[in-house]
This record gives sequence, C-alpha cells and structure tokens, in this order.
Amino acid sequence: MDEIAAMDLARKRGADHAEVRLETVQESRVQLQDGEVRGIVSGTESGFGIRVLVAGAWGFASSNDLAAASWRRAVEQAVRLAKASAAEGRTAVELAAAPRLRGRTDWKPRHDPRDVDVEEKLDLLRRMDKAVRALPEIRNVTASYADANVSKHYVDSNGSDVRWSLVRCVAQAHFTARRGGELAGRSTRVGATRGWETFAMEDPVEKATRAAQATVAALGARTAKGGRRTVVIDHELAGVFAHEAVGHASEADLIAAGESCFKGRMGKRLGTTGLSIRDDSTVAGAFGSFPYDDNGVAGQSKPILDDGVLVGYLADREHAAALGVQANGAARAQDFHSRPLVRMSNTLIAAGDVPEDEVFADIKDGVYCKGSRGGQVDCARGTFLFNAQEAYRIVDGEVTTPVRDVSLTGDILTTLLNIEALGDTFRLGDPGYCGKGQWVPVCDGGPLVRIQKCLVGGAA
Amino acid sequence: MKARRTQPAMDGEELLGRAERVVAQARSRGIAQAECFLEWSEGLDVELEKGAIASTGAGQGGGGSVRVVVDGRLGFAYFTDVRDAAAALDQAREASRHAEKLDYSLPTASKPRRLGGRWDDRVAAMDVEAAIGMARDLLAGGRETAPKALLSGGGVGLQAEWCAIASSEGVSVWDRATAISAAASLVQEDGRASISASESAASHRLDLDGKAVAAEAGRTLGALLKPAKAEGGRVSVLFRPEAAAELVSDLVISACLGDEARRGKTVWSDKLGKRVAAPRLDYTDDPFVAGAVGGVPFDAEGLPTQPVPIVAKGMLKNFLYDSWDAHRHGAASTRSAIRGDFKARPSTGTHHVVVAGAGARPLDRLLAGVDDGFLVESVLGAHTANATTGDFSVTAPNVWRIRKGAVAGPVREIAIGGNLPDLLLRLDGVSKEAKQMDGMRMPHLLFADVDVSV
Repeated sequence: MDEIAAMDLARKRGADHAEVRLETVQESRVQLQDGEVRGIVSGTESGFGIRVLVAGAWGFASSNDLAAASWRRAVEQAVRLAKASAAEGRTAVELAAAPRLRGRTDWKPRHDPRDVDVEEKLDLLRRMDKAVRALPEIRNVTASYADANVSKHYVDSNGSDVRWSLVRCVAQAHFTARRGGELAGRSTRVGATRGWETFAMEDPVEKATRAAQATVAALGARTAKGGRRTVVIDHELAGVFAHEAVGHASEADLIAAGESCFKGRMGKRLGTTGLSIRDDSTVAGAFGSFPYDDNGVAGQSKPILDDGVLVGYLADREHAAALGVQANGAARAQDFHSRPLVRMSNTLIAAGDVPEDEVFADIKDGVYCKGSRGGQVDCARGTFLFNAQEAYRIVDGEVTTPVRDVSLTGDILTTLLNIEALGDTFRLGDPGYCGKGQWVPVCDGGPLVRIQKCLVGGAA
Repeated sequence: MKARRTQPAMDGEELLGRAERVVAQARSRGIAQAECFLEWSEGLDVELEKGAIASTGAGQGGGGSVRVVVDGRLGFAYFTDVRDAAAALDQAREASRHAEKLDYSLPTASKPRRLGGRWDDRVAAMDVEAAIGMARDLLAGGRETAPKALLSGGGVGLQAEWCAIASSEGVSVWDRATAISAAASLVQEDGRASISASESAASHRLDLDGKAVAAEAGRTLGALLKPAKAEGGRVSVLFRPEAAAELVSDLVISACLGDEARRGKTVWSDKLGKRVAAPRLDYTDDPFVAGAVGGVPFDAEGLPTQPVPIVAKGMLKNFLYDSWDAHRHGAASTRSAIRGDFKARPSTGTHHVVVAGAGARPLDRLLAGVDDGFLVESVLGAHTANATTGDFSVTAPNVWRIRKGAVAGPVREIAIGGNLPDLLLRLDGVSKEAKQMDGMRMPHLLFADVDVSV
C-alpha cells in the first residue's frame, strides 16, 4: 500500500476529506566537546501520517512502519477516531478552499552534505573550537554540526499531490568564559536551508570568534539598571521580537481560540507608522523556508502588519475557514507523527528609513541589546519576555560599556506603538527552532529598532 | 516507497530476542563489544480546544540503535527496521574510526530490581471511548468550577512503551510501561485582559480523575480574577510546585551533570561536598517512588537504577554520570543514562527527582510565616536563565499577594530577577505537601529577599 491507496481507502471507509503525508529524513550529526569527538550520529527514518475528516471531526494516525498492514491499520484507526469524535457533537470543522496543486519541487543544494566526509565536518568544528579557545578566558567549547535531507509527499482528497525536498545545515558553538570567579555562557549558530555551501556564505568560525570576543569583553560588566528605558535592539533581537510578540499573536488558531491579543483588531492600527512585519516561507536559503506547507498549500509571503495596521493572520485551512480568511501556507508539522499546527516560518520586520547611526541619536540613557538568548510570549495576556545575548549602555547617543543579563518585557500592543525608529538596513537573524508543543525550524530578522519606555529587567 | 518491516509483536521477550540477535550479528562481524537498544511505542490522544474535542489521534512507531566499541573507540548508528541493523553496525563501526581512542568499554551487566505498578492493561488497550470519556470529564470539571471560562486547550494522552537492551557485556533486559496524562487550560476575559490557568496530572494506571484536574484549574482561575496592581520590592516569594519546578529544576539538573560540572561549565562545578542550598533542601533522583511516572528499573544502558542523593541537607553530595561520562572523568556510573528516543545516544540525566526537606512544614504554617510577599502559581521565561551563571529574569503572570500570613488576593503580573544559586541558599521553607508531576515530585518552596519589580 502507498499514500494514494491509503487516501482512497480512507475515502471508502467514510472520510469526507483525507490527507496523507509520507516523509523521509536522512540526517547526520557530529559533536565536538572541548576538542574531543563526543558523538557521530547518522540515520534515516521514514514514516507517514494520515488525517481524515468524518462529519466535521478530525482523526489522525501515524507510523514509521511502512508495511501494508500498518498502512491499513492506520487508515482504519484514523477513520474510527474521527467517527468517535464526531459523535461528541463539536461544531463541524470546515476547510477553507485551497488551490489543487500538483507537482514536484526539489531545493537542491549546491553541495549535498551527504557527499561531505565526516572528517571535513569534524574539521569545521575543530576550527570553531580552536578559534574560540584562542582567547584565554574561554574554558569550555561544545561545537556541533547537523544536516538533514528532508523529502515529503503530500496527497489529499482535494486532488493536491505535491512532492518536495530540501536540505538544512547548521553549525553551532556553545562556550563558557571565565575570569576569576565570574562566568558567562554564550551560543552562536550559522545555518540555512541549503547544503554545505551554507558555511562558505557565512563563516561559523568568524561568527563564533566575534561572539567569544564580545563575551570576554562583557566579563566584569555590571547588571543593567532595571526600569523603563529607551532601548535599541539589533536585527537579530528585532527578529525575535517580531516572532515572539507579533508572529505568535497572529496565529489563526490562537485568534480562533480567543487566546491572542490581536483578536478582533483586523484592520486596526497596532503599531507605529512605518512598521511592517511579514512571515515569509519563500526567502531563499532562510532556515524556516519550505516550498509547500503540511496542508499542501504553497509557501508564501504573509503580511501581518502593514505600515502599523493589522492586515493578516497566519492560517491553515481549518482556522482560515473559521475566521473567514484565506489559507496562506502556515500549516506545519514537526514530523510525520505530528498533526499540522499554525506555525511561523521566517518572520521579518521591514527596514525603515533612519540611517543606522541616527537610530541611537538623542538617547540620553538607554540600552543597546544584541542577539537573543530566548524568549516567551503570553498571547492571551499580550505580554512578552526575551533576553539579550549582549547589551551595552547608551549614553548621550553613544554605545558605551557592556552590561549583562538584560531582559526585555512588555505589553505587545503598547510596545508596538512605542517603536520610534526603524533602521534603514535589513539583516537576517540566526536560525532557530520554535516550540509550540512541536519544534520546527524558523528564522527571523529586521533592522535596528528603537523602542521607548521598554521595561528592562536587571537590578532593582 | 517499498513496503518494509512488519510490526513487532509488542512483547518484551521477543523485542529482547531481536536485540540479542543484533548483538550476535555484531560478533559475527568481528565487533568485540556491541550493544543494541530497541523500542516500540503506541499512543492515543484526544485534543481539546475551544471547549470541545478538537481532534483525536493515534501513533505507533519504534526503532533501534547500536553502539559498538572498536579498539577503544565508540561508534553509534540508528535504524527503524531491524533488518537494517547489520548496515547500522557497519555505520557505527565506521563512525568509531573518527572517534578518539579513549579505551572505553560498554558497561557490564547486573540484575535490575523489580519495579511494579507501571503497567495497566486498560491503558495499553488504547480504548478511544475511555480517552474520550476522560476528555468529557475534563470539560465538565472546567464548566462546573469556572462556568464563564473557556477550556482553551489540553486533552488526554495514553501511551504504552516497550524497550529492550542487549549487549556483548551481558546486559539483557526489557521493560514496559503505560502512562496516561490529562491536562486542562482555562481562559476567561477579565476586563481588558484575559486570565488563564492550567492543571495537569499523569499516572501509569487508568486512575486519573479528569474532572478533578480541570476543576483545580477552574478554582485557580477563579482566584485570579480582578487582580490588583502590585508593588515591587525585596520580599518573600512562595512558589507553588509547578512554578518552583519551572524555576529551579533546569538549573539544578544541569548543575549536577557530572560531565558538565567536571569541565567547569556549571555553577556547582567546584561545590561537591560543599553547601549549595539552605540546610532544609534535599534533592534526590529516586526512581523507586511507587506509582510515580518517570521511575525506571534500569537506565538507558541497562544498568539497575538506584536512588542518588544530589543535594542532602543543602550539601552537594553527587554528580550524575552515565557510563561514558563516568569513564571520561574517572568516576563510577550513577546509572543515570537516559535516551530521548532510539535515535539518540545515551546521555546523562535524571529519572524521577524528589525534592523535599527536613523541617518541611504544612503549607498553611509556611504561609503563616510570611508577613509580606507573593504566592506565585506560574512563571514565564525560566528557560532563558543563564545556565552558566544562574542569573535569571522571569515574569509571573498568576500571582497573589501575601500579607500577614494569609493570601490577600490576586495581583497583576510581576517580574522576578536574581541568581538561582544565591536564591537556593536563601531557601526559607519547604512544604510538606508536594505535587507529583511527570518525572518529579516537588513541594512549595519559600524564598526570602527576592527582587520583585512591576
């Protein structure tokens, strides 16, 4: 049995809608710890997920057992579960219309990582390790590399039948700096939806070296003074802000569930004039890019804020129908065992028109935050928190001494209106993984962004 | 795609037989030391959304991995079809050629202790009616205690897992366990903001009360409505078990990993045998708590598990090691190997942590001792704490004011910042009442002199 036969069987068993995803991931992972090979892992896994609608209720089944009996069992299970759910009488799920797509898209890497010898991958990590360790304060370095060749086949009873493949590569380093009794930790990452050529386009050795130098320079720095201040965030943190504060709040499942502060605000001004944010899964090479989503809808650019006004949500077919909007390619599943959820891809703030050096002008006492050490958002309450990797005091318009452990918190709707300058240069941020019960690769980016009255966490 | 592999018989003995045959294959290929890990799992879940059942799903899958030691070098590879095990052995042998020669040996066998009460045929049956029935109970519990709230998320999950480990060094073990979980998140409009509260529970057996789980979330939500404005300062903060686990567990667990600590990467690297917390704190990895989800009879290398005191009376007693980390640092394995799944190499971690303390007091007496402070139900952003230094800055959305020994009512979100190692030294109290969570039993923790800002 194959994907098409499974879909046909589901229809015969009573499914009004059926979709099947078959996925194969071939991966390689290498890790170096303090210059010593910690692990070399390789393997391939294939599996399928079947989702059906019966009388407006979902049923889903998955397996990595590709024997015919396993396919049949999964189909029967998915239909049986959907029928059991339908008996509970929930408002019937409807699916927004979507173009019937057929075809194949292969994002072929210029240099397939499967053709790269393990020793070459280890050499990259050894060079990262050596470069970082050149600073005497750096004590521990964990360098790791991973690649994944992903291929998918999606078919549904709407007539869509798309196959696609892509490759992702990522190299990262985590290290500790110590001087006297003071410790600081830092991570740095280079990655893309590309092959081994990723590392010719951005050198992870150089990037790790810069990060190590900044970390060592910050040893001995004071904790930032807490309170409401004007802050400037760099392109990477701006991207994280776009992701955490705006992207999540615009996810249609959260809107439909009443769990987003953007609910009921379509067409209204939420941000300062000139602020435009979109989620775009078509950015060439960006870590969150993909050609088709897991509803079989083409990946696309999805405007969220246009000149400060809320103009769009991120929607899969189910929640697009619930909200009366178009499905726009935002359905993603972590793997074949997972059901698709509304997810982001690459979330981007468009550049403004303020020259970068002028973004800092006139700030008497502020904080310049660079890079992200993670964040979290409560979309229902409309609050966010994220931590900077590096931070510096701004005094009279000049970036001065480093400060440490800076967190930024705030109310999303207030903060969007408190943005008072957008730099004129856009840069893509670091690759990352977004967790929403499932993990998916994402990226983000933006220009320098200046925010007034932002709550800086630090010493009381 | 070619049809491959037929489903295992879901029988531990048979799974172990397959693992032993893979080890025999290794021997016939001239590999002196080899280990095979196999696992299979089945699951069923019911997802709740917008006050109703949103979806039901089932999954099954499994696979295996091999570790080989060739000339003192360790190699690893995984597979999803046991017929590919021979190729995986070759891959692992090839990987070992790139590893350092560290004269590592796979661990030798010893007999695990029996750990009962972890299997329930009613859970393993994956009965959709039972799962939907519990989902109905969750919905009812939420409606009854918080009629104006919407059950925005949560659900029921059933799981049955089998694993087997065999090695050339005599390891030959298999295990199975079932688990059921229930969770409810409630949300309610409260003026211009929304208030939300969540509750969850897990068990090996079909003995969870879904109604009680959602009712608890409903009671919490009701107690959070109409929050007053808070004031910041340096005050006492009492963390409920969920918040305490969020704030403290990641730091403590990463600080007690032997490899990380011995490399000088953690805040407790030079603290073995020294004070790391107030004398009232005990932190133990105890896999033998009856009925607790997370307990296991043997670790991910097949070695019998044992209770490992990590912090006792505030003193750091042990770092944790799997056999590889132990070998690298000249220590003995604490039988603390864990695996994310069959695709992951064993690494060091905890099985089931028990947090307690001599002098633990009933919660009401703990509360009575707080003249001015906050009671925190949940924190956001704990994962962004600096694991190297322990510095943290979190927000607490669900908070109550404590005045003169009593809960004085809900307040709006507060921010809490500080340094976790310092905070643990200022631990002011531990409650007798503890919450049993998946992989952890945690009481309320009271800390003095905590920086709170609004």
